[in-house]
Amino acid sequence: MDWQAFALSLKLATVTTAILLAVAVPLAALLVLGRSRWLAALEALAALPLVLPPTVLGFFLLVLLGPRTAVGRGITSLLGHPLAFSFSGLVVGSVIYSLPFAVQPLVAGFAVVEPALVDAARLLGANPARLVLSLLVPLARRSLLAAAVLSFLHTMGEFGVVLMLGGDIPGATRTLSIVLYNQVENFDYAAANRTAAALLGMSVVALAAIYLGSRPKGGRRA
Amino acid sequence: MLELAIDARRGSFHLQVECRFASDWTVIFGPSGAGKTTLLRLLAGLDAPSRKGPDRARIAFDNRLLTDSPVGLALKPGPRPWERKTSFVTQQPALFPHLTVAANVAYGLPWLGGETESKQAVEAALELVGASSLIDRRPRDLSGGEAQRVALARALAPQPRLLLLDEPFSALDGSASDALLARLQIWLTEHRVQTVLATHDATDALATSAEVALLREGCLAALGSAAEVLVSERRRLLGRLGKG
Amino acid sequence: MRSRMPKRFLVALLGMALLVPANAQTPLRVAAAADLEPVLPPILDEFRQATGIRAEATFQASAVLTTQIQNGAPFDLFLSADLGYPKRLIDAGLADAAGTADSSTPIIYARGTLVLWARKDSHLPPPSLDLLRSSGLKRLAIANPERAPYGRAAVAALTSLNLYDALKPRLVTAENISQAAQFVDSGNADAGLISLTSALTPRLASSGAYFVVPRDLYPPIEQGAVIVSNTTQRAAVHKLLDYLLSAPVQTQLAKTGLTPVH
Repeated sequence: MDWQAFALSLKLATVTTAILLAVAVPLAALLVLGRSRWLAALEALAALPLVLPPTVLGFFLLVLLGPRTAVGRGITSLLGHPLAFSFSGLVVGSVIYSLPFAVQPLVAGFAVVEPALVDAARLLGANPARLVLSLLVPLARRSLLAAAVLSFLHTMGEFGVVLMLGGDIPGATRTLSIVLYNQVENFDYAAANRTAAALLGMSVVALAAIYLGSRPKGGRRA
Repeated sequence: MLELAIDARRGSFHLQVECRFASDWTVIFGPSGAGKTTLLRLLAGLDAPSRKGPDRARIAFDNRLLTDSPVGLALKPGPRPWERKTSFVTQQPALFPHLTVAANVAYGLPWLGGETESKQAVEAALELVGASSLIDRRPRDLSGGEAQRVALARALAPQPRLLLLDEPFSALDGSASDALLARLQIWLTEHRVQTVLATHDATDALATSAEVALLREGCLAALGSAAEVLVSERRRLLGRLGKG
Repeated sequence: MRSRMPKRFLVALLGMALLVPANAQTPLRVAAAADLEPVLPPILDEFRQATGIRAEATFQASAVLTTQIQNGAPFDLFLSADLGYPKRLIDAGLADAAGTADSSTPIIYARGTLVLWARKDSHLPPPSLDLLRSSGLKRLAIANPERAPYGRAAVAALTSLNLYDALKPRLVTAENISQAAQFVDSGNADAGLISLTSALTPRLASSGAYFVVPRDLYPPIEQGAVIVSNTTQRAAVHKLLDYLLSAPVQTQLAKTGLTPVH
């Protein structure tokens, strides 16, 4: 069992989920509450990672973050090292890759909050931040949970982007799913079974803990 | 004093009102579909006339412009001085379901106010609407009438300058509604809050010594004292019956 | 939840799928190693013109193709980038080299060449063995040595040069040769050990320069072919194999970066 990869995957999924929620909550709120027509384009853009095959997305990111684009050069001069083949690079890739999985549930959850409640909060002087934090988020907390869970799991199992952007460096970019893939490709099915079991087992435990913590007393529909 | 000049279309509905509500207490009276809610939403700042298109609206309160569509002015609703200090109680109480009654009423109070002051304001507002006993309840445990009382308290707590009420007592029975209205009117006069109440119920209009604006199919049909406007309305209805 | 797609549209889609004409001749299905992607399609076209037999290729890492054949993928011929994978299939009784001198040994159809490739606009000196010793070389891309033949050759060459341990922390491992090339072409790695077939593709030939790694530094990269035993078109498969090994085609292979076997 590759514990280093195991820890790395956990860290990547945790960091990615935290960043995604911080990004997706305001983004989803903007998409639901905003009136500009440009928001339709923004919403489409936020869903695009679903369309691209992960390795292709990884390839685009590799090119974009590399030293041959202004973006890549800017990041390199900012961080002191290029993003590709580093943990931070994987975080960037994962955030983009899993963005729809955080945004979609939140948009769905925010959209069903009654407009009358939003109006009431606005009338009482709530600014957009307060509107989101005091009203939309608590009322759509199950969507928030779904967004967190999906982001986390999607990142845990992420493969194509990591493969492309990571370069398989132990401790930095060799995640559990890469290890698992390597084991399968090398016909080491016994090790692959163990790794897959660890990945699945940990995910079940994490999910059960989250759902248990969020389950209202007396059942879900109480 | 509230001055308004509004010309707005919502689908096939056309709202055209140009008038001045000088009284502290104005009742907008009209059948459902006459445009009462549309008018109140514009007054509250929840709706703004679109900058493109033929809509236009100019709303001024106490000589301060709140909405002026030709120049794109549309102040947001809210209790603070740079916003329109307007409260709006809608037909649906729209209480925040995840907050207690106390937290609902406190929602519009300024954040920087002290905790004791905030608590006092909440208690005072609930007492005014006869809902002190509900303070620790959750919205889902309230009856329709109780929820309307709490919604009213929530609107009053931030001490608005302009209070807009859209059929706010529909779930209260007649005597409770009259009692609440009477108590409210005294408080509002004391605190110099101008009030606009929309209703389709003539008794609400008559219960208060108010200025009455009669709204029919999006147009202002009459504006004056309750006696005048409602008498002429009565005459019109009788006339139609006579013809038929 | 109700789908927004109108039923009529779905019916039309289904109809179109059914209207796609069925083919009279079942084409030969060739499982081909990824390094053949720039090489094989024109050869298969010419083969069809010469013999009237249609052949379609699927390009994948040899390891992936091996797994697929092990699990019953309907291929007729497997062109691997090495000898190990086809041998594994022969040992499992899933493939053979029947009709040749030794039916249990894969048919070698070409040899690969390892090159060191870098972009022309690199700040480092042009590719050579000195580049591998340069301290400016921060990231060297190789294909996965555990399964990509060129990855294995790359590690062997570095080991022969006594550079492997020093360079190990600077290696970035790609899934296959073309991904290793992408690492370098996108500027994220400074240089890469890739196949000559990749380096000769128009894209890489225009953006970079290569250095042929001396052949005595790594064991030969022999590319083997096997017939998938389940094939129903054995005769056609043999025609294709003979065609691949014929002198004109072997000469053609040489131009694309594969060394002829004769």
